[in-house]
Amino acid sequence: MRARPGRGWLRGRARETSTPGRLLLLAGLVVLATLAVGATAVATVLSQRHTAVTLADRTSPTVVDAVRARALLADADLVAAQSLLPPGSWGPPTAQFQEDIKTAGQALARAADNSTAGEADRAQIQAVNNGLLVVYQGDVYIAANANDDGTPSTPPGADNGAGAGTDASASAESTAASVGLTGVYLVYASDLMREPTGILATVAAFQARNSANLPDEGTAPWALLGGHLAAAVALLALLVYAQVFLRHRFHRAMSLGLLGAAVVLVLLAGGLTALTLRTSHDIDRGVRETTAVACLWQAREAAAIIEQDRTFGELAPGLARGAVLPTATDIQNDQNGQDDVAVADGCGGQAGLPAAGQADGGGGPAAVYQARDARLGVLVGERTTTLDDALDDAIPGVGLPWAMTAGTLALLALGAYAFWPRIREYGS
Amino acid sequence: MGSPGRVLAMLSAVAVLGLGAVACGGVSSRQSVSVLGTWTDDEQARFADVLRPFERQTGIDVRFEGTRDFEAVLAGRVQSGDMPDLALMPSLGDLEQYARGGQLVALDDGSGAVDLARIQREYGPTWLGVGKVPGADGRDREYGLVVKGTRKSLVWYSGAHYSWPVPSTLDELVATSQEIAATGTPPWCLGMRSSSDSGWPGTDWIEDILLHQATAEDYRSWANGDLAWTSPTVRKAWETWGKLVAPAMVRDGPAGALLSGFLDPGAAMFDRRPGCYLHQAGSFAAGVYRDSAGQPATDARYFDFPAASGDRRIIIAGDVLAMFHDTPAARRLANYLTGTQAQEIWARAGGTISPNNAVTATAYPDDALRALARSVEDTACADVVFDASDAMPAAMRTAFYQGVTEFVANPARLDRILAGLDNVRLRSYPAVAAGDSPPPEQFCPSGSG
Repeated sequence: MRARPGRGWLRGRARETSTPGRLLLLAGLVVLATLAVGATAVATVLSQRHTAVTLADRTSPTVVDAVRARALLADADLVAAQSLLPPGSWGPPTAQFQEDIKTAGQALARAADNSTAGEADRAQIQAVNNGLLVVYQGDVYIAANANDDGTPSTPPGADNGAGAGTDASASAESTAASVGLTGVYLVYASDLMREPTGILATVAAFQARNSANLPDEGTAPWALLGGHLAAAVALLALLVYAQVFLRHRFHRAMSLGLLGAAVVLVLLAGGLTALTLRTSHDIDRGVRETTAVACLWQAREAAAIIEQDRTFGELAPGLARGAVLPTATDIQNDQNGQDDVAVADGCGGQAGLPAAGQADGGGGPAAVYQARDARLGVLVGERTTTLDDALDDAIPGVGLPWAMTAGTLALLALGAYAFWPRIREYGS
Repeated sequence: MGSPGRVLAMLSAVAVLGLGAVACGGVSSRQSVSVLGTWTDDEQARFADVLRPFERQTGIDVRFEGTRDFEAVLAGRVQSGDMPDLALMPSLGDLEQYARGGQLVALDDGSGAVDLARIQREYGPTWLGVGKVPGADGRDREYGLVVKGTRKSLVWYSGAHYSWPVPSTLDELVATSQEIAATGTPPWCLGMRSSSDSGWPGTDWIEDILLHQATAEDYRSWANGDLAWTSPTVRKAWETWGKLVAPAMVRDGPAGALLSGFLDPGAAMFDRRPGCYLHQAGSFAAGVYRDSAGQPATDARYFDFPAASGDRRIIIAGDVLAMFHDTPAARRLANYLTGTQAQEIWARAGGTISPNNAVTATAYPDDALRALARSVEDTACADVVFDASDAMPAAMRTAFYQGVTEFVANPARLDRILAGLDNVRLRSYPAVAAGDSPPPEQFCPSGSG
C-alpha cells in the first residue's frame, strides 16, 4: 500500500533515501526547527518587552500625568475661589494656585509629548496648555485684582491713575448698583475650567483616549508563544526520532548531544512560557495600578470641584453656578458616582476609594474636605509607589532576547555535536 | 502579431497593472484637511451637513475641530507649531495678526487654485474685501474669505407680547425702554457670559449705538484705532448704553446680565408672563429662540437698531476662512465652502446670511432670514461696517470685553474704563503704536456703495 501524502512522510522518505541522505535530511530539519524555535522565542520576548516598555514609559505616565493635571487644575480653581471669595479665611493661597498651575502645565506638556493617542489629541492638549490656561489665569488675575468695592481692576495696561477724581465722587452713589466682579470673573474662570468643551473636559477626553491604549487584561503575544511551542514540540519529536535513528543505524546507545539539546529545548520553551505568563501578569498589574492611581486623582479632582461648589454656595450664593456648570460627575462622565466623591468609569471597584470617600467626623465641611484630600493624597502616594514597582517588574530584562539567542545557538551546537561525526563517517 | 508586438503588449499590460496598483495605493492613502472653527453642537452638525457632499464627491476627509475657545485654542496651536490646514476665524483681528506674522497663505497668489475670479463674481461687494489685510510684507492681500455671514444691528422681540411702537430713532428706543421699565418689567434681556469671550454681547451694544449715533466713518475710524476711546463720540455711546442697562432696565439686574449666557435671557421674552421684552442679537438668533420651558418660539420678530438720524446702517460679522497650510485638499475645500452648493446648504439650515449672492432667496428657511440677507445686499456698502470688536487686535478686543463687563458692574467707572481702553489702543494697533495714522479703511471695493 502506498503511503498517503502527508502521513508518515519521514518514514516514506526514509524508505526511499539512502542512510547518508536520511541523515542529512534529518539534520537539516533539526536546524530548521531550531531556527524556528529561536526566532519565535526572540520575537515573543521582544514583543512583550515592547508592550511593557510602551506601558511603562508612555501610556501609563500619560494617563497619570493627564489625570494629575486635572486634579491640580481643579485644586487651583478651588484655591482661587477660597482665597478670593469672602471671608478668605484660608490664608494667602497665591503660591499654592501658582504651584498648581505650574505643575499641571508641566504634567500636560509631558502628557502631550508621551501621548499614544495621535496628533490631534496631542495638539488639543498643547492648545489647552498654551491657550486656554493662559485665558483662565487672566480671568483669575482680573478677579484677584478687583478693587475693594467689588469693581474690577482696569483692563490690562490701563493707567490706574486716570480719572481717579471723577471715580471717587461717583463711587459712593454707584456702590448700591455695583456688582462684585471678583465673583463674576471667578465664575468666568470656572466656566473655562468646567464647561463641556473646557479645560477639564478636554484633558479628561485626552486621558480617556490614552487609557484606551492601555493593554487589555491578559495581553501577551499568544500567537508567537503558540508558534514557539509548536516549533519546540516538532523539534523535540525530531530529536527523539534522531536518537532512535542513530541508535538503529549506527548502533550508538545514546547520543549525548541530542539528549542535551532536548534538555535545553525543554528549558527554553518552559522558561519562555513561564516568563510570558509572568510578564503578562505584571503588565496586568501595571494597568490595574495605573487605573487605581488615576481613580484616586479623579477622586481628588471631584472632591475639589464639590468643595468649590460648596464654597461658592456658602460665600457667594448669588453667583448660582450649579445650573450652568457641569458637576464633577458630569466631567468624569460617570453615571454611578459613589458617596459624594464621584468616581469615573472603571474606578468603582478600586481599592482605597470607598475608604477615601468616607467623611471624617468632626469639623465643618471645609475640614472634612481637607481631611479627605489629605487622605487621598496619602493613598495616591502609596499607590504611585506600587505602580512604579509594578511597571518596573513588568519590563522583561534587556538581556532576555540575547539569552534566547544563546539558547538557540546552544541547540544548534548540540545538534551539530550529535550529527556531525556521523555525517563525517560517510564523507571520509 | 509578431514576437516583438507580443512583448510590447505584455509590457503595456504590466505597466497598466502597475499604474493601477499605484492608483489604488493613492486611493487608500486618503487625503485629509484639518479645520478649526468655533462651531459646536448644532452649528457643528450643520457644518457636517455642509461638508458631506464635499467628502462624498472628492473622497477628502475633513477633520473639523470646533471649540468655543477658538482664539485661545488657535493661539496655543500656532505657538506649538501645530496649525490646522484651515481656520474659520470669527475675528478679523486674528486674521490680520496671523497674516502679519507670516503664518497665513495669501489666497490671491495668482495660481488660481482658489478661484477668486468666481468668488468676486458671486460675492456681494459688502463681503468682498473683508479678508484683505496686510501680510508680513505690509502689503494688503486676500488672506481670508467670509464663508458664513451674520447680520447684526437687530433687536428681537415677541410679536405676541411686545405691544409698544417699534422705535424709529435711538431716542425713541431709550424712551420706549424707560416706558417699559415703568411697568415693573425690565425691557432688556441681556446675557454677557460666553466662555473665554465673556463680554462680547456688550461690545455689540457699544458698536451699534456708536454707529447709529455717529457716522460710519467715525465707526471705522474707531475700529481702526484712530479715534480715541476718550473722544466725545465714543464716550457718548457708552453713556447712552448706560441708560439702557441701568439696574431697572435689565432682567435680573447687572448681576443677572453678567452671569447669564448670551442667548439664555431671550427665552424670557416668550414666556406667558415675559421677564423682559427686547433682546439685541444678530441674525444667528433667528429660529433658535425658545421659551423658558424649552418650547420653540414661533412669534420672534425683529426691528433694525434705530439710527439717530439718516439712512439705515448695519453691522455685519462672519466666519472668515483662512489658510495655514497650502495643500490641494485645503484649496479644494476653500473653493467648495465659498461656492453655491455649500452656501445653499448652510442657508437652508438657518441662522446664517450667505455672502454669496448666487444663493437663491428660496434657500433661506424663512422670510426673516431672506429679508435680512437682502438687507445686506440692499444697503450701500459705505453704510455697512464689520463688527468692530471682531476687527480689533486681540489685546484691544479682550480689553473691550473687560471694559463692557466692568461698565455693567459699575457704570460710574466709565472714565477709568475709557482711559484704560485708550492705553491699550495706543499699544495694540501696529500703526498707532508706531506713531502713524492707521491706513484708511478699504472695506468697500471701488465703485461700490
